[in-house]
Amino acid sequence: MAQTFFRLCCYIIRDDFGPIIEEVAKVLLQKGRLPLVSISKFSRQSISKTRECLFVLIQHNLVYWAETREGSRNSIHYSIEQNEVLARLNFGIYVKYANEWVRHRGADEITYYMLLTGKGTFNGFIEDRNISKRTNKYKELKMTFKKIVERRYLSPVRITDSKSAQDKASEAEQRELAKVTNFIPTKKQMAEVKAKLAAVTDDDNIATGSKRKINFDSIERPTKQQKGEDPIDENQYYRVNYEKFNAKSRNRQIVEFVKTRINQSSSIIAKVILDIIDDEKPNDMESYAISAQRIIRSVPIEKTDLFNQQMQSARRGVTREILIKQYLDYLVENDDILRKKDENMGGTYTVRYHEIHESLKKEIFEDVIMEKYGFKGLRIVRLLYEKGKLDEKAIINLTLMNPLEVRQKLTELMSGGFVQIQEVPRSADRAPSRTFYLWDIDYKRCYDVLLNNYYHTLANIHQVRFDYESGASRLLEKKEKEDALRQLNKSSNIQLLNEAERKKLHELEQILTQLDTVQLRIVQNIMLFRKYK
Amino acid sequence: MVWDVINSRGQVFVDEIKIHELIQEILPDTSWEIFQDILLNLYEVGLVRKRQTHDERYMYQARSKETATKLQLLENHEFEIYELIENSERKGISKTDIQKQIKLVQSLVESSLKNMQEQKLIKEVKPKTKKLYMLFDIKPHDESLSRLLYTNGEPDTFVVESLKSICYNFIYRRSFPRGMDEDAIFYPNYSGYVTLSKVVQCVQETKVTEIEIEEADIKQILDILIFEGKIIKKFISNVDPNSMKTDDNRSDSQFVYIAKKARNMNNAWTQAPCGRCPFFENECTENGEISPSTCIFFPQWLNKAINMMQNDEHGKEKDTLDW
Repeated sequence: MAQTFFRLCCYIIRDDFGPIIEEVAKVLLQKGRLPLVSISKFSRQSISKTRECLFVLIQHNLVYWAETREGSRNSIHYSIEQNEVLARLNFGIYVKYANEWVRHRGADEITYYMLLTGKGTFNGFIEDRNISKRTNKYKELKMTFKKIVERRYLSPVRITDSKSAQDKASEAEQRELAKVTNFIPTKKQMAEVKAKLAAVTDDDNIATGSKRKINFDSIERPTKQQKGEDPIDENQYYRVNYEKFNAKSRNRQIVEFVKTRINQSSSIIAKVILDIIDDEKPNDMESYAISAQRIIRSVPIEKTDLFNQQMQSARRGVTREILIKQYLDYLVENDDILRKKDENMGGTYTVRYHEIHESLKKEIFEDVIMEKYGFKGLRIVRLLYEKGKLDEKAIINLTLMNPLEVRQKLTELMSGGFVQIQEVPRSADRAPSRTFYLWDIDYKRCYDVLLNNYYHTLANIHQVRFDYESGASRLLEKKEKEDALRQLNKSSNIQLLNEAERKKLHELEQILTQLDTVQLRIVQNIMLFRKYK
Repeated sequence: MVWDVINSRGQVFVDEIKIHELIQEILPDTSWEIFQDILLNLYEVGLVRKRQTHDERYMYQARSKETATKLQLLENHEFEIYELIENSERKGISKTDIQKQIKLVQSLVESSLKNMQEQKLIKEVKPKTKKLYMLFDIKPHDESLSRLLYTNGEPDTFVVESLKSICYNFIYRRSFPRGMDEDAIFYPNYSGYVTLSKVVQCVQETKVTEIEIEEADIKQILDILIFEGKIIKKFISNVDPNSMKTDDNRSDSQFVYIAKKARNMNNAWTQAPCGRCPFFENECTENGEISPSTCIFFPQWLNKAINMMQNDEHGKEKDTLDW
């Protein structure tokens, strides 16, 4: 697992930042937390170059630093955050759906800029786009930016944010301990301090959960904001809030899931529910409850016909309200999507994120088995999942398959890492002839295997892409040159590439899109299997 | 009298002390010695089986009167063989094993086996290659397997597959409302889904086979469909909360089978060459002999896609590549 993951992280960084930064990141990924001198030594780069690389990585939220006092001097240690590196894979999804999720034009541009710069200000964005402050476009973008920040798609950054959460915690602990005693603290004192700090961090979480507090307390706001007309500080630095985007893309997957499982109408209702809830934390077990009345009010009326067509009711001519309620009941009854919490206000419902995740994962995993080992492989896998440990004979009898075939499938599944074998010897000498061999499957373990396979595949895709790109590097350079010349002269009749080269370039582009497409598809599955962290 | 008591307990072994207690309820003055004599008598005429327990007591089980009359006609050694076979129960016992345990000449064993077979006391079964003997009226344990689904002790895949498709079609047709949108579903609490007995009925009506179709066989087929993820089993209760009248005619709650929609979940992995690559797990490494750089599947896959794209480039543009 670690090896593949490491390889993938390196490729991601090479893809985004180039080979020199990759060297630096590699050292940090491999050896953990290090000071500048050691990093430059291990990566065989000069100190100034290493520093520049680290600066880039810090700007893009990949590297954290921590200051510690060692004797008379301060030393700074750097460490890299693997999850942040992996999150870079999701960027395509964020940009593509930004407009749809924020429901404002220009949201994708802002997201794109923020992702590209790591941390950025609104002013920076405007300058980057060359937009005059007097145009309508400027006003529009400002509105959008305000919305994005309000809905927490972007979160403000402070200087302290470049410290990792762990460092912050240990620093706080040190501070608290210093208040209590100057000497080595006793166990009791330690426990007290820890309890106190735990309470504080809990408070923090609540504060970030509400929009108001984060906007008005934790960010230093100039006086402008008090006039109530312009709450954006144009020079405040922001970064993209991955969690929020992940939550949204989880919602998208859920809607998609409902659509394939049940039908379009129920997916429309599921979407309405998720949009109302609109929560932030992607790994909650369950959402808060909303009433049926609220759902009914929010469902677009023009869909009623569709609803009517897709649900056969017990009686003819039911009202829209009853129809939607029927759909809600259907979602409760089937596949653990909703849960009815209470009967008040016409029934309140919660979304069962955890159960949906589990069934989504199961579905995808079984689909993989189906594709890779055929429906007979799937038969065995699901049999083992439902009945637990079984010996070969029992498997043959329960799946009604040819004994030879069963054995073949089982060995294939075992070499794929999906099923295990358990020996139960009947006598002390453990003679194979007097031993039961029981087959067993553990879905959680299978998910890990699958996730690892995903990482491996992504790394492979990256490698293939690098090969194609370096193979056509001369072509790409030429193309770049051509583009640059065209921009300079603003005339379109400059042609450095001949017909054959043009065709080749076109093909290369298609190959790269193809690779990107499959990569993004896999990334979505990875998000699911990583619980949208 | 004693036999009646034992027989009333059915096809199980009963402890002698327990039997004595039961007897004493009816005839309070039966002493232990007399009781033992009676049991011995019964045993000799073949009306009961006995078995010793680990603490040196005996347990008894009744045999039917018809069997007993037949048993009385047997020779002593034949009776011994009969007991052996009887004790082997549903597993059966092979001829060599009988010989070993009885220590008789082979010809004698054979003739007595033959004799008993003629009297329909025992029968021979051959699950695989070895001949086994067991009592005439019990089903073999090992492949007590229905004649429908098994031939020669192995599952008959052809029969299984065809029954599977009949069942699936039947269930699918009754899982979604007809004459509506193709995505339509039944309202919640709908109770008209297919039950096991209905599937059995359907299969019997198709007359696919002359062998009698049993409910257990069909249940097994349905289980397989569940394992393949094509149908789901659901428990529904037909108790209507609005009208609490209970219908005596039908059972209130039952298991129903519902087909799942033919789905196209996009599992992304097997679309990429790696998902189907035989060398993916162990052989393929970053700089190894087999590596993504030397991969033969990637170029094939990419070229195929390019050809496809060039073919429909005139029609649609890049919309087809939506992930």
